[in-house]
Amino acid sequence: MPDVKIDFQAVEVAGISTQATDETWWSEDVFAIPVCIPLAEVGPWLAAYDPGNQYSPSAADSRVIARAVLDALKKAAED
Amino acid sequence: MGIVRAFDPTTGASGGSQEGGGGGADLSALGFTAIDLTDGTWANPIDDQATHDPDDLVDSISHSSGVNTIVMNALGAGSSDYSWTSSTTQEAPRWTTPLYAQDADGNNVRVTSGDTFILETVIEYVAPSSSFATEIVVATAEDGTATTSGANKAQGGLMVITGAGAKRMGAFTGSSSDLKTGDSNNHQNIATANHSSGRSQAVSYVNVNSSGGQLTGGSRNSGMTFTNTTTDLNLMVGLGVFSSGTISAGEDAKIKAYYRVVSFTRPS
Repeated sequence: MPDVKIDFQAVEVAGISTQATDETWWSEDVFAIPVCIPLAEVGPWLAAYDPGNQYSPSAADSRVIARAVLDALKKAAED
Repeated sequence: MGIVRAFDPTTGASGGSQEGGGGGADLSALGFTAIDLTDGTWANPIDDQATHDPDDLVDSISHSSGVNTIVMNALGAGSSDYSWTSSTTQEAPRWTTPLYAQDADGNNVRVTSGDTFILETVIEYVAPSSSFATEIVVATAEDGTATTSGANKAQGGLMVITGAGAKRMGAFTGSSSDLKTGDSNNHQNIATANHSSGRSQAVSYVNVNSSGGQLTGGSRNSGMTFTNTTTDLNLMVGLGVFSSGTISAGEDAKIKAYYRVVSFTRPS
């Protein structure tokens, strides 16, 4: 199962104005949580994801990212 | 220690911490140059409207006691094109002047895109008489007169005013920003923009209160590659509208800002 890393020391609360992946603009006050994909995991992650399939990625793979992000959010919000 | 002029911005004569002149800069106590947008060194929205205010948003510019007051024309239809941080289209008013560092004699030396240098900026909050949702940037720029962020390649300090007394401060990078939440104690945004070898890379900042005490800070990468390593760079002061706000005729912005460029000789 692919892995992700969180750069927790770089988590911050900030007002960010920038472009999203689909190039739409957004501006919001956020917890900025850097999600880091090890280069060795890029291939496995891309292989596990089919953007045309609404059930992709699998629930198990999705939880890897979701739990990493939410663990960081929870810790940052409680600090 | 208060902010002092290190060099006269017009004559280049040394002053402030550079007492006596000619003896090289005191790197332990460099001062800043106060920005006077009316001192004749700036291309500006009034004299150069086509390139510096293409949609005629600036009505008048005046300067007194270190504060530049910009009175606006009406902007009835808000657009992110007038924000420096919400669009790659940049049609907001701006002032530009050649970007210089001073040599040991106080003479201006033009900074080019291949140089290794930092721009240090200070943007100080001064309450406008009648505010609109304001963005103020003080930045390096490859161009500064263009209407796209890809051509301007600008980065520097940022202040946003979203209402009476509601000021936010942070970093401006190309067409994006990093701001901290509003703090009524925000007094000055002190930003450092990093450049070297044909690349502008990032801006970091510290926001301080009126006693100079730190409140918060942050940073943002820009990662912009200049067109080449030989282009003469500019200093740009930009006045925009936060997000896609509107302006009523007669609303104003007060810009009190300082800058300093330090250029290095890279070890080969």
